[in-house]
Amino acid sequence: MAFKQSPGRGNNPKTGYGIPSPLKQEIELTKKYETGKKKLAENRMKGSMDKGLDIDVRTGEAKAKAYEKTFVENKRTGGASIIGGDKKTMESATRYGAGKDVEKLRNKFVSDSTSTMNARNKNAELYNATSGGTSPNKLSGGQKKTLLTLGKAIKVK
Amino acid sequence: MKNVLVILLCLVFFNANAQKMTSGFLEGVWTSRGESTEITFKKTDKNKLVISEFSSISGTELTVLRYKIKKDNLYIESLFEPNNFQSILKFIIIDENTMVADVISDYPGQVIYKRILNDKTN
Repeated sequence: MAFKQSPGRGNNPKTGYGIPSPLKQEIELTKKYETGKKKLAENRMKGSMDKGLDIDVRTGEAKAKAYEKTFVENKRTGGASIIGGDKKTMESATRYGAGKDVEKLRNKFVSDSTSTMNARNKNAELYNATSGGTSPNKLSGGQKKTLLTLGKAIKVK
Repeated sequence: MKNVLVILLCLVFFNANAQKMTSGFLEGVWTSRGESTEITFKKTDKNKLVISEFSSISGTELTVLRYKIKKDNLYIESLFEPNNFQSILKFIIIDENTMVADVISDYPGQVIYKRILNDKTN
């Protein structure tokens, strides 16, 4: 009988460990959380908010603003530009150099937009966790971890 | 004179065909396309409205405190309990499947709602 080797699990982690620990962690919100929540509500009333966030008019929850800049390729000239939210050209590249400049500009745009949107999404998540926008019993593992780090919550289990 | 008559006739025609804000008209599911909330209106046997509203961001349900239909406008006052955020929506009909809501809250603004499912057909 020929031996047949099974490829096995390889480098993939074993499954079946259940819910990751931060998600099942029980926390209790502290006084610092309530004070911070009040402060954020006051700031919201004053209109002093993070520029990358939009506050929902109906719920007061925060969401990341859409990225304002766009990457526009000019098919006629073969060049490309980054257009700002105010519709003004911020940066341009010509087709010279076998399109290397255009590619460089595209990579810059992708990198900038990704990092900006990541930061905005994280800010929105943090804002919702600390302002009460996310109900305490619906906090994600990451949000619980943040609240614990900020001293706005304590572990109870 | 002829033009005036045509305009008058048009006005009468448009008024006669204008949508009225009724429980029957509202019945169905309305979406803000991820902008704000999703709302379901259901008409009971006694012609009353049952309103359920959910946040498009988190899916958390809002508590509808009261509603009123007045002069072809619908007003909904609700509370978002997690952060005690209270606001009033004033709906104006644009067409059969579109309404614009003026939001009166700490963050006033406008939200466009589109009908996505008509319960009347069920």
